[in-house]
Amino acid sequence: MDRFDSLLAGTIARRRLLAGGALGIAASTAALAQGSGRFMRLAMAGGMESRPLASDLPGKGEMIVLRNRPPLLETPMSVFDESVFTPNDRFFVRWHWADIPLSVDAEAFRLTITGGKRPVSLSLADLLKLPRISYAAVNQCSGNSRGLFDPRVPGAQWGHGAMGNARWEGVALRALLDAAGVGPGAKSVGFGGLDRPLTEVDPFEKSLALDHAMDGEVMVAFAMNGEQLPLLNGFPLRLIVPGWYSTYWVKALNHIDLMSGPDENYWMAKAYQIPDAPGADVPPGTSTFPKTPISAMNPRSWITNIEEGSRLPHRRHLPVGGIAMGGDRSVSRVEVSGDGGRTWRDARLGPDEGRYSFRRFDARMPLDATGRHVLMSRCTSSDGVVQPMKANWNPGGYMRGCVEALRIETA
Amino acid sequence: MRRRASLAALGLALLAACGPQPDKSAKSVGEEREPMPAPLTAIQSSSITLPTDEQTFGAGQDAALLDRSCLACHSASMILYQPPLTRKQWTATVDKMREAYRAPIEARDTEAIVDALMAKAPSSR
Repeated sequence: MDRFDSLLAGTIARRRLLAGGALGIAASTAALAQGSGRFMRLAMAGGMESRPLASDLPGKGEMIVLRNRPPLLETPMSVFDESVFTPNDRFFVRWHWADIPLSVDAEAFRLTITGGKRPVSLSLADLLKLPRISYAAVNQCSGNSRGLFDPRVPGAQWGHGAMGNARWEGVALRALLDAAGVGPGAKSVGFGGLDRPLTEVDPFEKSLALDHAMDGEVMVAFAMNGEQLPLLNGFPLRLIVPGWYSTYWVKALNHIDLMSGPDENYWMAKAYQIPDAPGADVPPGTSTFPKTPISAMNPRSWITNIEEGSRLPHRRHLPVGGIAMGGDRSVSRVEVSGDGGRTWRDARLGPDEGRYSFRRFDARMPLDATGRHVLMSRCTSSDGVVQPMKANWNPGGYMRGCVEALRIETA
Repeated sequence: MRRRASLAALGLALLAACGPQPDKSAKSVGEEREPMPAPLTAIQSSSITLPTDEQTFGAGQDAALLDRSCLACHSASMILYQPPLTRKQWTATVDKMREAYRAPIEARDTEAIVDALMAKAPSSR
């Protein structure tokens, strides 16, 4: 236990005291649940770090808690081993501003569209009556795996679990924009939600180029894995931008605006900027380079059936399985290595749930001798992009996409 | 009236439902795809209460300064889980909090806040 664990343990112990004492039964449920005392060790650059687990976040099962307010909740990797679809109650959570929607009246809620030829205001009941689209898509934080950046960078210190895959159902954004009437001057489309900053700054808003917004795939979703969205994942509506990082997937979406000029909002113009270089890769420590807003995801893959640092009984053929994603393309190939990337063999791909979905892979890895092994997986997308061995680096900790190493020992 | 008009326009504008289809060229094994969930038919109001976060930076002047400067907007854990950061990185972070996010802190307190962060969070020399 390092000193931060001690500090946390102290807090938890204090909560227990409070719960058992003067605050009584009402306060005890939440306090005790959060003080489950369970921790998870996550592999990060520089070694393993521990994070508390909690099951008392509303609508959520056991999650890794990076931050309570505003919530940053990470999905444990074992969840990804159970299915290519991430259950809603284990789906990662990331909010920027402290004032997040905690209560939404389904009757009173309206989605408004401005800047078109006519203003549009739709209730949830209106949206449910419209023709629908549905597809599976991976939702991944721009900074997923930031804790693996070496040298380390400030920001939310995610392991690999700031991602999830769900079947989204809703209405094509194109249909809604057509209803509003896209004028000749429209250049881009802005999106805002119910969350609010506590200070006088730009609200969290994002935008897409008009062509992208009109591609027929970008969706205003009201369902996630067949259910209405959890409040923490953007109830009642979320923008789905398949193949692009989660920063564009505006939660609690209640406003869409057709815009004729450049988007000067902080969250497009200043934040979520990556180096305008292949793989968003610059020499460590660099901070002056041409920048561009983050956009499409890259191919990635993870072995999920074995934990980092496991000690396993030796088998001549070790079953290795996991999940892969092609970024904004489908997965065409996954290879695995048991010798740190010297030799590779093809894994068997699981069912294809669509271009933007996770895809399962499985292989039997021959292991000649007992001892230490470095297991790896490598995804190739349908446009031929292969995960590189070398990790990228940028000061924001964005777009990690290299082959990940999993160290195990067999005896 | 306006809503009815916009709904009618919407009906006219809508095209056949379309979405990305599975990639037929990709390899396929004998296992089946996951069953498709039923379409959503209703949306119910939703309300949650988040557990409170009582964590502070502890006792002492540094802790009090950080409690005062940081906890209005976010949990202490955001700082305590940062990796070892240099004074330059912490200063840039405090400047960003004040300038970009309008944190209620004074520019003249930056050095003291950075000192406190270096003392309370993992620090590299």
